[in-house]
Amino acid sequence: MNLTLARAQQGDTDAFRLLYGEHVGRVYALCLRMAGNVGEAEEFTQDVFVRAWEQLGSFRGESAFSTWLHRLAVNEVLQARRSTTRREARVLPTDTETMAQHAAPTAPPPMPELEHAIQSLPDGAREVFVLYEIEGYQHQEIAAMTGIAEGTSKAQLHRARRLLRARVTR
Amino acid sequence: MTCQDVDQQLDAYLDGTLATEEQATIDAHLEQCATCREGLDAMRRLLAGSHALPKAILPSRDLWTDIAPRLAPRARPAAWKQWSRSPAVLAAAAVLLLALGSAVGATASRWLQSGTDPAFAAARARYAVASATLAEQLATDPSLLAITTRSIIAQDLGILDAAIHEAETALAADPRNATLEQMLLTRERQRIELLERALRAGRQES
Repeated sequence: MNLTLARAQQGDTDAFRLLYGEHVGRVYALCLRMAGNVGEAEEFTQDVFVRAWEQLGSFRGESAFSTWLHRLAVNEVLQARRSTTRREARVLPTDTETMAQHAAPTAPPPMPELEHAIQSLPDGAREVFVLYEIEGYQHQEIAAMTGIAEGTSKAQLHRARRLLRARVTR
Repeated sequence: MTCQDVDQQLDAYLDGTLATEEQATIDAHLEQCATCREGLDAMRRLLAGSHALPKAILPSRDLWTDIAPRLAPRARPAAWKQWSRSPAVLAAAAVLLLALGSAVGATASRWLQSGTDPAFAAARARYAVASATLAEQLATDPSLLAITTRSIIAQDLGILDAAIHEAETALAADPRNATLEQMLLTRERQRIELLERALRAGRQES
């Protein structure tokens, strides 16, 4: 375990910021592809690092920190996306501040065609495609993380691949 | 086998999970059917493109400004300060000081006897003094760093000391080898940098 990580575990936010700087790209990429939009991706990324800070004390170094953080990010995003309350709150802003934020979103950076096509997939197909094809998880692991059957994971991958092929080669 | 059958089995075919016989049947169909071949090629290009996507993407703005206020201060164990001054920890600090001191002393005595060139000897003398001073500051104030961090530093110092010893042994066999001298000085500088970092971290923490 390195010194920065040990210091972050002891409550040093400066050390934790260094860890954030080192890993934010990987976490944000996952969140962006799983969420399918910049607003949620930024929100999920923040939630992941806050959760990591809260749970850092339980990290014992059995796996690499990046692996631990990545798994935590997948779980956090899946859990957040399944929270009905949260989704409704996002769809129906209740105060002017929230509405203003929705009215002036940050312009998304330019993306290649394939990234756009992945973002446009239906939720379930996109999640399985990102976890399987980009993040390298197996169907068994995806089933355990998402709570779907292994066969459903395969079916979602089948659907995602065909939708993408149709969109990218059109 | 129909084109629809091929399409149904295409995922397993691409993932290499089909039985040999099934795979051969699909291969035979693909040889005859340009449409299915085209579909397979398109799918292969799609998957290759997906695998080549960047694993990391930086957000367009710094999210840390929103994260930092949400980080609840992690309560260091209330008894930590008291614990760090306990006789057991003071004893551990004393042991660390002795270990660091003896390592520096042993190093210093070795190069003093080695009869190397004056510039190299002067550089090593400066490093030895700096190393000893820093090590003493670090070891004599047990409130500076938690014992876990201390133990990590001790491990890192052990690695550097082993590397220093290795370079010294090589230099003893090949005196005045400029590359070896440079390596030795580099490792001693790293040792000082490590101690300086540890001290800075400890001061921020206390």
